Amino acid sequence: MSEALLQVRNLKKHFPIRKGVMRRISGQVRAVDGVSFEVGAGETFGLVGESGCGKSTAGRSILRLIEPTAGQILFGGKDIRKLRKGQMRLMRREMQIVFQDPYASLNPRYTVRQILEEPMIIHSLFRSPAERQKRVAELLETVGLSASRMDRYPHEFSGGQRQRIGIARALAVDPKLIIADEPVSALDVSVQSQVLNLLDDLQKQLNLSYVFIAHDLSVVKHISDRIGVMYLGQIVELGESDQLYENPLHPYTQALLSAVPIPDPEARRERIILQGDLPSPANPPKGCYFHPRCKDCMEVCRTQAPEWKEVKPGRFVACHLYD
Amino acid sequence: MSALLEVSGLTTSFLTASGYLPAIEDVNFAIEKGETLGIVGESGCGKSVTSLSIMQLLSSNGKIQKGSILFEGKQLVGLKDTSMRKIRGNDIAMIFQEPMTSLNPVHKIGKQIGESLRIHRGLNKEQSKQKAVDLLKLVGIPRAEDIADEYPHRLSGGMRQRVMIAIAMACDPKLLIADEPTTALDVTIQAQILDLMRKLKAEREMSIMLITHDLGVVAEMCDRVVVMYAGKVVEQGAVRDIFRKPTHPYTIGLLSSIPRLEDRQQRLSSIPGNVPSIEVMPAGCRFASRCPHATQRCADDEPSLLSVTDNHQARCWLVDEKGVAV
Repeated sequence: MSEALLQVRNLKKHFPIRKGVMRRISGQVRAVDGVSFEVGAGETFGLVGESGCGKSTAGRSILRLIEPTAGQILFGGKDIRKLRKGQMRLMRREMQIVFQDPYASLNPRYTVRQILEEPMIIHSLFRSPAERQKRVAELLETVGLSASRMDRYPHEFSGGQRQRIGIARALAVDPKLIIADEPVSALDVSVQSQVLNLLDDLQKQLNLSYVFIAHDLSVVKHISDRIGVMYLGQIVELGESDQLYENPLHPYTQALLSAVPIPDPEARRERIILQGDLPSPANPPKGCYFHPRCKDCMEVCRTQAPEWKEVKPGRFVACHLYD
Repeated sequence: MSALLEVSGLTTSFLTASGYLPAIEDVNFAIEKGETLGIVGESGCGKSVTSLSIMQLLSSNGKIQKGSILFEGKQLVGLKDTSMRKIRGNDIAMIFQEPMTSLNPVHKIGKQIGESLRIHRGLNKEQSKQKAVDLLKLVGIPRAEDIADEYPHRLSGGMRQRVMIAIAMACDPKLLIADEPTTALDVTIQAQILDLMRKLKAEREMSIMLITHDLGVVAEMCDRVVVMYAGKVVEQGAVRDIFRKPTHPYTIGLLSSIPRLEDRQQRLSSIPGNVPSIEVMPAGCRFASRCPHATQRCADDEPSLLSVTDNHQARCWLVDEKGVAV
């Protein structure tokens, strides 16, 4: 793997719970609780987990769209948490985000042209209107939309097309890294595959790095080079995507993989059905966070949190089974 | 053996600014006793309108314009409200997609489950409460007695969907219509709910009409499948035939555009373009503009459902041209 473009070290985001008239802090929701990973240039890192596991909060904290509580975020070797507001804004030219909901993430009162010009104006790129128009046309062609539709409003486009506009907006400032937060989960399968192929093509053309956040394991596996599986604010397992799927180590990863319905009526396999729900991140269980739902729970799991260790080169897991 | 539910020629339209426009047209299918039928398609293809038409829960601007819905030989189209009410929630029950919004937030869970028992079975308050607790146990809710006295906001999404299933199961329905029952849930919770539905179906010999866009769920749950596109049935057959020998180009496209866990394919195939809008439906085949095999005939004439084999039909001229039994 090439030199890491993004290094996230022990990232934490705790949200305070306030109570009473004085709004005293009475507890913490540990949405992200010590997440570390690296993304190389031109690489796709997938972050997968169920709702409430903190994957979106992690994505937004990396861009400092929400301010992290602790940890380091090194982008090109520079700790972006130390940057002042103005410097951070310059840094955002390099790192962009694509949101989940293509219906809510585009301003309905702006035309597509205005939506795509805005980041250029903010970052003082393509200063003349003619240059900007040329760039908008170029961007639309890149994402597979006709440039002749640039003066239309978002509501005139379908969901898949809107997501393409969202991607074009992220590309407008020529970033190195795109954080894609559930970019295809609002789309139908046939349209979803169009957008996934587009992301793939763009990566090859522009040597982009992606942090791809999603709950759909088949989608994450398809697009990612390496994957981190999150549970309750922590990454429990990390590895090359094929290896992780062929030989999941953590009991949670095993359960997650076995729960995905296979689109083949004759496929039969062992299914691990997890009992119960995700515990609240405000009051996580003692020891290993997963132990109340784990089929391989041992005595030590109830009291001691497992360490994050490299069991094979490039393969990390946090589980007492591998002590 | 006659089918439990037989839908034929069903056309449901909605009043819009440009008059009544059909959301589904000429929909035909049947559900046998004890069978799980999957209805698959992408958003806007009419799968929910089909289920709402059967339940007669269409909004005021929608109406069934043509066709018949026979349930145990009884015609449901045009049935009086009072008679329909006796069937709804009793013989035919429904679970909806959104467990967060389909429960009433101001009533206790026990009361909501007991409602249909009081109405359809004439149970009194205590009896219905007791039955509600039994039903909560049936769907695997721990501390059923306590939960019956809680309000819905105290439960997680998966638990609420279990409550919805308990409500649907209250009167031992013969047909359960499940409209995207697991779409709003996480995969591990989805596995729990599907497992529960399979168990209940086996115990009670009911039929399930499962509406979903997830082909994985269809493959695991269903005996037969109806594929819908732009308001029409484009293919139907046994689940094995649909997955092994898909015939309609839309079904083929749909099946090949899902990323699969077990494969290492580099590129997904996708269906170009978008679903046509309800206002400007093409004259010929509705899939023609996105179909790789489209010919002039497809643009001009709409194919009817042609038989591929005895129990497998596809709405495609290719079936005709290949000379397969028409």
